[in-house]
Amino acid sequence: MTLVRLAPAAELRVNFKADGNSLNDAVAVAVPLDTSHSPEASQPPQATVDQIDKEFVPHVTVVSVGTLVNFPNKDQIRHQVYSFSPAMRFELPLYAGIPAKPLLLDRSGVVTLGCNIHDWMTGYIFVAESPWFAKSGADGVAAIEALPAGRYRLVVWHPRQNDVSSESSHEFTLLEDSKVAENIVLTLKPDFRPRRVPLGGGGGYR
Amino acid sequence: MTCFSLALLICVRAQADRLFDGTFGIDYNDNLANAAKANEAVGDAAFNAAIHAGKYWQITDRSSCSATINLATRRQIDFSALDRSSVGASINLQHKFGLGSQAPWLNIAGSAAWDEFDFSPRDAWRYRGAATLGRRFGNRLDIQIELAYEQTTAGHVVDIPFLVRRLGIHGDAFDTVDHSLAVDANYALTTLLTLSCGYTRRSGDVVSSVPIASDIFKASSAITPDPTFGPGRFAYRIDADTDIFTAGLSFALSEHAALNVRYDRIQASGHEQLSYINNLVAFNLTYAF
Repeated sequence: MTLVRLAPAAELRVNFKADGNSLNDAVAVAVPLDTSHSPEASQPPQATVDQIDKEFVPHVTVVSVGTLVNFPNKDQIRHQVYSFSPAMRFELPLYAGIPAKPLLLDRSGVVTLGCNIHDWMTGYIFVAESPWFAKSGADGVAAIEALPAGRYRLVVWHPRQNDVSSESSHEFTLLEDSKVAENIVLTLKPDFRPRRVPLGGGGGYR
Repeated sequence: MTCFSLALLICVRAQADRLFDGTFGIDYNDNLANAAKANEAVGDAAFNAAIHAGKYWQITDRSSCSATINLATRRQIDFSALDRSSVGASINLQHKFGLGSQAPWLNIAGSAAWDEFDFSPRDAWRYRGAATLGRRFGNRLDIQIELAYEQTTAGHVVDIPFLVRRLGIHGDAFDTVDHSLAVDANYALTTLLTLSCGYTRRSGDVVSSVPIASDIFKASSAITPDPTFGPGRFAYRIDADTDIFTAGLSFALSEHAALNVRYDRIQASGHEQLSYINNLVAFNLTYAF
């Protein structure tokens, strides 16, 4: 993604924690409240969600609206990726390798991914309404760099956050060349999904 | 081109995934002999191990098939006549009626296995056919209904006296046929621990190995001398209705391994008010590659 720097840049570091521990795969998005802050991209940004060992990799992907997403299948078997999410409903036909066309995500929101062959496969694409976003790593830090000074709304999201009806958000102001740190504590719900390991005596397809 | 060769061609062309899982465990049955009288019941524990290895083909968006070779062995602690080795094969056809993890599915399965016991009259071919309909409800519950037919055909028919044969009683006590209807539910208590409950109604033959007695003799359709549980016992084949109540817990150790515990209460009711109860507890470790 190519961003044009509009003003001396600031940095926002969001520290995510849950149950006292650093939280991986949490999303932070800085949505500018001043509409003049809109970067120009030379071409549509692209992102990739792989399928490796019958799992979506990465588990959580963040993109901005208008991103083209590829779903390469790196397993030696076929997958069938789909989503029922309002942000993007789709069903790729059963395929191996790389689908012919990337998927254009043109609406903000959460796209929950599944594979119709391997029910335990779950992945998420957070489609941000702003190009300024980051995802936390193992240290729980999501750092958004090169932010123009101004007023923003911070949106945070995690696939296991308790309140899934709306993303958590609050407003903040960034001064030129400033570094701002935010601490976000989320409460998480259990990650229930179809089990990969067989129940009982085995004998099934996993 | 026949339908079979067309299906075979589709399977060969479709990319196959491997299937391989193994189970090792121990179980205890408090009434191995299926005896109606408490003083004739015998309990024993057994170690068991099983391997399923094969291939899986996703034929279309919604349909798949798989074929496996199944090997199993069982070693009793006390009653070694029941020690068993099995080799068999199974084929599964599955169709999913829609998209997503909550779409219902239908599985048609067929299997055949040769069971070889230390006590050779029990050696038998075992055939099983089953149709299972299942679906998930939300992220935590799934329910399955299975209709099954099972038949065992003993490899050796034991001669019995002519006079007994004249009464319409045969020597093939280990030839059995039954059919069953089962409902099973699995509920995720936590992300790692799953509770399973089930009920099976089975109608058909059961084999009870007890000392000679007139009531069971009259109720049986076949008799074979069976020293498995001591001298003087006979195996009687009886037509019975059996209720099986099952409860189990499965703890996921990883994405590939699970520790399972299961309890079965088996209540069989045959003719002449012959009935028996089994309590069966099993622990096993499953690893799926």
